[in-house]
Amino acid sequence: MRLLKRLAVNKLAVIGSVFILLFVLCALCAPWLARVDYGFMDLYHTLQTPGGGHLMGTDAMGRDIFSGILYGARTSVLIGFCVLCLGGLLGAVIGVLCGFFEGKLDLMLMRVIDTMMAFPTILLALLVIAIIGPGLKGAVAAASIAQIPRFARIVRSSVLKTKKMEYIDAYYVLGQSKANILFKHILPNGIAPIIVQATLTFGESILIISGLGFLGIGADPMSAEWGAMLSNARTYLITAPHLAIFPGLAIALTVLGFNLLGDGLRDALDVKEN
Amino acid sequence: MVVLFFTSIVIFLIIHLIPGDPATIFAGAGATADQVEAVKISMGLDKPLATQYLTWINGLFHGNLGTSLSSRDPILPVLAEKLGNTLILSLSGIILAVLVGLSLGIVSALKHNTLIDVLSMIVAIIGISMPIFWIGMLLVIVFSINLGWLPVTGNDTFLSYLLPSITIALNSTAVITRMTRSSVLEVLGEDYVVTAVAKGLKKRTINLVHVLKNAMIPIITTIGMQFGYLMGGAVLTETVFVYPGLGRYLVDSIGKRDYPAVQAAILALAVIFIVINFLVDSAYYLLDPKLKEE
Repeated sequence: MRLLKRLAVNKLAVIGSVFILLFVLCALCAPWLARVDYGFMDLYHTLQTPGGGHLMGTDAMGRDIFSGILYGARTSVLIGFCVLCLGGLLGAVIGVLCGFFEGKLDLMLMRVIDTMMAFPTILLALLVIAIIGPGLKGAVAAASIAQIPRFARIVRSSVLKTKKMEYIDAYYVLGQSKANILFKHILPNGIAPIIVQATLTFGESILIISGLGFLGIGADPMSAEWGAMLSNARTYLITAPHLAIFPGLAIALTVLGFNLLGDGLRDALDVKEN
Repeated sequence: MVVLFFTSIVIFLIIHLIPGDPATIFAGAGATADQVEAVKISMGLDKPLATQYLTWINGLFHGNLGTSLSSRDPILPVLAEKLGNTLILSLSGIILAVLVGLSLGIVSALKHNTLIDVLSMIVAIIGISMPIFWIGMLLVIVFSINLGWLPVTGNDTFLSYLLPSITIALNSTAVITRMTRSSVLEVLGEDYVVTAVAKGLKKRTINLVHVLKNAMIPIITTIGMQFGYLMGGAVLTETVFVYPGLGRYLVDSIGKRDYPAVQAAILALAVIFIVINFLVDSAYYLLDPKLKEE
C-alpha cells in the first residue's frame, strides 16, 4: 500500500499505469470492442481512410485496422508474458546460481553472459531466429534468450548485495538451511530491482517482437501483430499513410507506459541504477 | 584475440545448427539425390565439422569468406561494400546522438528541476519508447511524401543520409541524454564540487574541469554500448529506407538460408563489437588515473 502511495505521487508513473491499463483492457475485451473480426476481408472497401464505418480505416485487404490494434494488444500481452516467463526465469536462475554460490561456476557463466551483453538485443534475437527459423514462436524464443543476460546480471548483483546483510548472517547463526535462507530471506529482500527490470522487459519485448515482425521474420504477416501490420503498411506509405500511424502509435504508447511505470517503480522502490 | 577465436567457433557451430540443408538449396529445386550429393562434396560439406571449420578459418586469413549460396558470388566484396554503408550510417548516427544527447543531458542536469529539465526528460523517455522503424516511417511520410524535401530511399545523394541518420540516432540520443543527466547530477553532489564552490572557483571552471571530467566515465561506457546498439538498430533503419547495408544483408541472407553469408555478416558484426568494447575499455584508462595505478 505504501508503495502505491509513493507511486501515485509520481505523475509520469500514473500516466504510464493508465496506458498499461488501457492496453490490458484492449487485450481482454478485444472480441467485444471490435465490430468486425480482423480476419474478415472486405475487398470492396480497401484502404479506406479513418472515419465512417471503420474507426481507423481499412488496410489493403479491407481488414479493419481498429480490430487489428485490439487483437494486436492480445498478441502483445501474450508475448510479454512469454518472454518474462522464459527469459526472465532462466536469467533469474542463472543469476541466483552465480550470486549465491559464486566461485568457478559464477566466473564461467558470467563470462558467457558478458559476451552476450556485448551484442545488441535485436542482433541476438536475429541470431536465434537464424537457428530456429522465422515465425512468432521463433521470435518469442529469440526475444527471451536476448533478455537472459540482463536478468542474470541484475538478479546476481541483487543476491550478492543482500547476501552480505547482517540479518542474513543472523539466520545462518540461527541454523536455518541454505535453501530456506535463499528463498525466504535473500530473494524477497532483493526483489525490488527485479520488479523494475521485469516492467521494463515487458515493454522491450514488445519492441523487439514488433521489430522482428516488421523485418518479416517474426509474426506471420497476415496475423494481428503490430509489427507485422507496420510491415504491410510500408508498401502504402504514399497512398495510405494512416496504415502506418495507428499500429506504431499502439506500440509506442504501450512501451512508453511500461517505461514510465518502470521508472516510477525504480524511484518508489529506491533502486539504484548500475 | 582469444575472445575472437571463441566467437568464431561459436558462430560457426551456431550457423551449422540451422535447419535446412545448404547443398539442397544450392543444387536448386528438382535436383536428384545424386546431384545434391555432388554439390555436397564440391562444397566440402561431407567432411567432418572440425575440417570444415579449419577450411573456413584458413579462408578468413586469406581474405576469402566463402561463396554466397544465393548469388554464387564471393561474399567478401559484397560484404565490404555493405559494411562500409552501415558504418557511414552508424557513425553519422552516433555523432548526432552524442552531440544532441550530451548537450541536452548537461543542460538538464545543470538546470535541474526547471522546465528545460522536465521537458528534455519527457522527450527522452518518449524517444526510448518509440520503435525506430516507426519513427523512420513517420519521417518519410512528413519530409519525403508530404513536403517532398528529401528522398525516400537509397543512398545516392548526401541528403538521402539525413533521415536514416536521424532515425538510427533517436533511441541512442535518448539513452545518452538520460545517462549524462544522472551522471552529472551525481557528480554535482560530490564533496569535491562543494569544495570547489567554497574555494570560490568560477562556475564555468567547476562545471568543465571538476564535474564533466568526472562524469565522463559512465557516459563513455554508455556511448560505447550505444554504438553497438546503433549497429543493431541499423537492421531496422536499413529496412525502412531500403538502404543497402549490412543489417539488411543479414536479414535477407537469413530469409534465403544463405548460411555462408549469414556466417560472414555475423562475424563482421561480432568483430566490430569486440573492437568497440576494447576501445571503451581503453578509454577508461585514459580518463581514470586510479585504474592506471592498479
